[in-house]
Amino acid sequence: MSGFRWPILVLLPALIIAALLIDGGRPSAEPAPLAEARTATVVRPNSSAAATWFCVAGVIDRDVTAAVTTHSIEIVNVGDQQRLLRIVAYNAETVAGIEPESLPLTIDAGQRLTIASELVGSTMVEVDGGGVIVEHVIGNEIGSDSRPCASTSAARWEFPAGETIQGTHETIVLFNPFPEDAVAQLAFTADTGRRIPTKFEAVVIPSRTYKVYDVSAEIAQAETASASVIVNAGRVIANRVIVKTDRGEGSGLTAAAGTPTASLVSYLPVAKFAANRPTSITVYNPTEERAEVDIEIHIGSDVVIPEFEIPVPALQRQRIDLTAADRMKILAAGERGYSVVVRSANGVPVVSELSQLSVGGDAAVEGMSTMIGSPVAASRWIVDVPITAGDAGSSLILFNPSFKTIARVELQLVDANQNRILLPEIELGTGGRRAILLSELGVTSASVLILESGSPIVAAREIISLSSISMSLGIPDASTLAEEADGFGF
Amino acid sequence: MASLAAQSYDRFGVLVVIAGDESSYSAVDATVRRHVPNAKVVHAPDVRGYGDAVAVGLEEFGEQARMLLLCQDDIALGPKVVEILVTEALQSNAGVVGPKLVDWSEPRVIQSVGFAIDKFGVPIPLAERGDLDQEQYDAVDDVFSVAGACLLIRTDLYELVGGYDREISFYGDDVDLCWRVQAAGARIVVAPDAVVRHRDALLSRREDSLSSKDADRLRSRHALRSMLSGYGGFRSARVIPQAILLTLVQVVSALLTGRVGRAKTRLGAWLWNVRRPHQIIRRRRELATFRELSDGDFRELQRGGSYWLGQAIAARTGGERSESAAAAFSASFKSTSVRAAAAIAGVLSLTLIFGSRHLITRDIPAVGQLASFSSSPGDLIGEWWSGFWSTGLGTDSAAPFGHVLLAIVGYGLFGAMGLLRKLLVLSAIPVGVIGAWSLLRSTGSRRAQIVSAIVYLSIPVGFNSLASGSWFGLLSYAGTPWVLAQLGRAHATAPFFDRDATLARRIRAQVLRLGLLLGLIGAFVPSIWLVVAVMATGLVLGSLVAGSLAGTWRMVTVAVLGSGLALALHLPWFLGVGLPGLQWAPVAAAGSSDVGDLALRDILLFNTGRTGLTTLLAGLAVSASFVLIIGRSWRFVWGARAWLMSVCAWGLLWAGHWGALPVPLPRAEIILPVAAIGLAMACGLGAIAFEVDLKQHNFGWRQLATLFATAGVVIAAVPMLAASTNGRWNMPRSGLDSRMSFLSEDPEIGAFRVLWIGDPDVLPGTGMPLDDSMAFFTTDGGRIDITDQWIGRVDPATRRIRLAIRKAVTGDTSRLGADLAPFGIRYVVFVERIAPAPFVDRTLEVPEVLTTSFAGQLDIRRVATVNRAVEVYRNDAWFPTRSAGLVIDPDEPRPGTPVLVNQTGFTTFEGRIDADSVVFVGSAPASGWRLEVAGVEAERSTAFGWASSFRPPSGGDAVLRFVSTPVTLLARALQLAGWLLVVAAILLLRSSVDSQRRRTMRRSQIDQPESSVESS
Repeated sequence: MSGFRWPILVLLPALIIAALLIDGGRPSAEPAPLAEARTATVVRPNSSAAATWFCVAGVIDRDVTAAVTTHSIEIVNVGDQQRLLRIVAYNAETVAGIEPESLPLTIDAGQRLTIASELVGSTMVEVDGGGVIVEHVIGNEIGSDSRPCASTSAARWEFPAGETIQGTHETIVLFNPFPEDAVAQLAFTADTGRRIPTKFEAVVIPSRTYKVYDVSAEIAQAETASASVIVNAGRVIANRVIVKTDRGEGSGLTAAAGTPTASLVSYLPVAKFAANRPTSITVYNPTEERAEVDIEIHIGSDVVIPEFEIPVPALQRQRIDLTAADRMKILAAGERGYSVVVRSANGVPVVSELSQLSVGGDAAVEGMSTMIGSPVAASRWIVDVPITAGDAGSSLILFNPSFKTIARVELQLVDANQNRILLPEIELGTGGRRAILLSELGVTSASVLILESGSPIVAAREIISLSSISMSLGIPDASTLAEEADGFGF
Repeated sequence: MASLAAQSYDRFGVLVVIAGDESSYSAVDATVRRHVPNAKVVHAPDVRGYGDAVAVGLEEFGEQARMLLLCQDDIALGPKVVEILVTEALQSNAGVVGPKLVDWSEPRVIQSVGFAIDKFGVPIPLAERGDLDQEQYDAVDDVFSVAGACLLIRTDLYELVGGYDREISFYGDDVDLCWRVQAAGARIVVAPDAVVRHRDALLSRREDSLSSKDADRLRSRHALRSMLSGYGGFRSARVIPQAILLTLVQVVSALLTGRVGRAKTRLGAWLWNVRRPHQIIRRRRELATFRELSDGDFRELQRGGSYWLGQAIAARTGGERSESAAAAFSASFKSTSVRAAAAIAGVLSLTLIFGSRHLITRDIPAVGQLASFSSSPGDLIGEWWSGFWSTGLGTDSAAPFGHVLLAIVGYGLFGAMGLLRKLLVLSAIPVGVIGAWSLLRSTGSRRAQIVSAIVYLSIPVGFNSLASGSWFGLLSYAGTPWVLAQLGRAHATAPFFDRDATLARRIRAQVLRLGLLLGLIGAFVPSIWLVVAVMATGLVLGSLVAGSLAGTWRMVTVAVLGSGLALALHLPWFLGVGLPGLQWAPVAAAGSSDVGDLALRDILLFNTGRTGLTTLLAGLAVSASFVLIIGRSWRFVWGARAWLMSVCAWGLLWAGHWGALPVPLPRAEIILPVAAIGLAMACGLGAIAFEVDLKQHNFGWRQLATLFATAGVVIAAVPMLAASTNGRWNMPRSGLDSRMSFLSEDPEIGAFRVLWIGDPDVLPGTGMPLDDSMAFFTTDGGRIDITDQWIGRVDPATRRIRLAIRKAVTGDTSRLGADLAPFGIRYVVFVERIAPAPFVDRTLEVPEVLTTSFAGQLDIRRVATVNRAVEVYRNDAWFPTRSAGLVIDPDEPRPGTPVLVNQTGFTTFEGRIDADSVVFVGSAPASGWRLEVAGVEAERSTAFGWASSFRPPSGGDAVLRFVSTPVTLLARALQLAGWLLVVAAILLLRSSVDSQRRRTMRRSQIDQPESSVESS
């Protein structure tokens, strides 16, 4: 028996020690957050069983100039099957707690439906499957803006680049289509610091209603007023509308669904360096920690523009006037478009928003537009072009955020007659950017572009109409979302 | 008879009462006639005991005599005994006179010179058994009682006190009689000049196989009966509570020393008497009619306190004073290690009682899976027998046999299911520790048993199971040592020999015993088969490593056959739940997240719960290694097996932690007892190695190793002792049920279900996997019961719930409420803690994506915060599981009104149905439900793909019932028969072994010359 003693005396401790050593190297099994939850708008894939869209708008007072007066819904079925729609419209007369009667409709594959109303406040569109996108066009006499509706509700919304200086009017609309009342807080970081107006400390959005909050009335004369909507009970969908009324100063209207979460990286594909295009970027840190942020400028060529390295204190925002920055002067030789990547260098998530004005001089159109950075890239995008009038400068912008992979993008155009037209493939080098005039793509009427790439890209559009400019991200396909897990490239 | 015939005093007649059958009567009658031709002989074949026989005799003869000399049949009187007794009775004016009883074969050895009794009616011999007669007791003296083998009593006195208690068959009848004589004011004396030889061989002579255990049982119950009926009211009020307390101490002590039978005896004595209240009351009343002396008047003939307790203390302190009736007791305390065992058993039991004090004195909260036992025994049996198991959405697969087992015990406790729950919870840890103690009984080393029990108790697996509310963990902790003992015996190698049976019988008995044991545990812990597999694998590997394969294949055979037998006992359940699609989760109750969360260090240190300081358990590695270093022969081999068993259990959990297994594991507390008992066994074997093997070495490092090994065991007990200060082993003070009363069913709104979602480790029931970390289950109404701890079949209907939840998570629906409505789900409860805040801190959060997806539903609303432990949502779109007027459209169901709300049977519902109503029944299986309206069966169709809808031809009184198939009922009957067969087979085998033992004993007695003495 003694012959077996030493083997076991050696074997047992060796086994246990070896296992302990191996065990120390096991990575943590922390689940990765769902990328889909990070962005306000996605299109559900064709195979989905259902999708719900929330188009949020409202009016404070019909008589004021800044009020939203038109709100139309554009629904496009980019899938290959007929879908059932259930449209529920909410207006100022909607009784709290009771869901209004719904309007059932069907939409064929490739079909576009436009639902226009004198003033439909907020609208919910339920679809019995994926492949359907919903946008809304908000407007008044000053201008209009077209944006994808939100496809999710959330308990928090961030708006980095609000504005309440004289001649500018900002409202935030909170829509609660759910069966229980929501209670939210609206917090602002303006030029004078962080502030929660007493009126906005605990606003109640009753069940099945929307509420419009006049930010300008509470946060006066702020050149940049970053806002956080913090929902303490329930969930809402938030939308911000800014109306600039000063003629000659880029007057216009811009609407933006907020972003539900801050992120380590965000992409802003649409930016243009031009004298009559004052452009600024606002980076907002809604967290309790200081963020170190790098702002990269990608122009899609070998020209390298040094990145901006800015600190953003907790609950503060930093605004950079890109047009005035010296390092951007390299682009001054001509009007050049570029994309911006905002990247947190210290792991503290932030939110970014690009603001662009189109002002007098030789600008074709006067207007203003904003775009909140996309926290995700995707391999499939749907870009709707609902407004085509006067689209001389309207373009599709593609950006490849990858450091390593060339992206080859297939484009398909679904025109107003439900024809599907395959367009030439576009290649994007690493960090590459392309802006293509919609007219070059044959877009002459309300159409939809379907983009499919071998690797994640970011797609956006810029629509320049007779009365406004509108920058907007496309709608990523939920099944192809990708995000930089560590914030340092794909 | 010869001694009677030879008496110097001849003015007496002889009456012989012969019990037994005709042949016995003839033989004895002949013997009586040969010696005393004029003796009267009465044949009383139906008498139940000695007192009964005496009564029968007196009916024939008694009134003709002034005095009665009552003799049993195993005595021989000296020639002047009758004369001396009669003379003494007259001279002393005594009511009862007894002789000096001496040993049959060695008359110099005294058997009895009378008894005192202690406070509790236990006789205390005045002469130590085995005392040599040196005339030290040769003075006539008053005693409380004399031995019933031979005593003289005045006839009138005998009749006054009612004679022997006819309910007392054997043992204790003499004390009872004498107690009443004392109360009647008569003297009882011993006349030591009257010497009577006494064989005292009742046990070995009786064919009805009275065993020593039976004798102990009879003594206990009869002493208690005498006490309950002998004392007056005032003294009874004082003594009875003390007697109850003493019994509890005796039971705990017996359990901790592995004498389960003794514990049963003590408890059984109370049960036997409690069931005869009328007899005791009648005897008390009779006693009151002739009582002349109060209890205090003859108290000087009694001894204060408890004789048992006194003996225990004397034995532990090495006191020399010992009295003969305690010989059996004292015999077990004769070695130093046994004294230590008693002392340590006392300490362990006190520690357990101290640590559980709040659980003993207060309610045990419904923490985790320790749900209430709200089902009555009838409900449990009914659910099992009916063929409809209400788990989840309902199923026709067999309910677990655990229902029946719980119901049987519940009936035994007169339906006190709350008490049953308390007993089960509180007894799990002691049962496990006793198992660890018993495991090494066959080694003959008390020290090893002590060490094994202490180590097993110190490893906090049981306490952690208690604190986390894990039924499965508790039961696994309780059962694992017993399973290991069976596997050990299956080896049939040292020290686990079974010398009483042949090899074939041994294997048969072992398979039956293991099968029954696994069947019992498996009725509640379906994953016990995994535990057995781990143990058997460890034992086999240990055998290989130790180079001794002896008995290994036999053990494997027994393990496989035993497991198979256990599985066969649960076959209907297994066929219904586990077999379809070979579903692992229901069988193993798998999917716990804690396995994934536990690092190897936590696994090795049993750090699975709220017990702190577990780092101190590292010392056990040293203690358990001692046997590998010092042990020889079988100590070394079994030490290696024990170690490998632990390593296998740890390894399995570690593999689960790394995700290296094809299936998820059950929670760690179910598997860790294997590692715990392995360590405990190794430590215990180390103690034997210390006793046996260390002596063979000169003084050196091995002796020093002993110190470290001892220190390891002592230090390892610290976490357990620290946890005991809490009084509830860190169990939270309140359960979730205390915060969830609003979920109670309201008949007005109709029957509904609650969907529970959470990590399997905090869910208050056993869930089905939702994803890698979450599980879910449904309950009828908000009440969670012990029956929700069994998981049902993951059938297509249940998968629809899972699918609906996943749809919500992936954003494929914003009206989840409508999807859940056909299941009658009115509430969804996300559970993140086993108990409400602030009673527990550990939170296993439901992934945000899950809660946010629910929060984003248009027809589900969050209920105002109930407690941080749960998040509750209410489904606005729900409709009752029995409703009428429903629009059964899978895409857009519309609610109906509740119907059939009166439940008149387990699966019968009644109510009134309006004409032209479509009745929806949201219970699976659809095919089993029948609806009769106004006596006409309604046409049934399947609704939503799994439920039923009925279109009655007219309105009227309706009855909905579930109809079982004959095959179902036959399966239940066969299952029951299977259990009874196994139990009967075990009893038969045991009885066969006992008979063999008795035959062996009798043969040895026949070989002795004294055995030729006549007997009847």
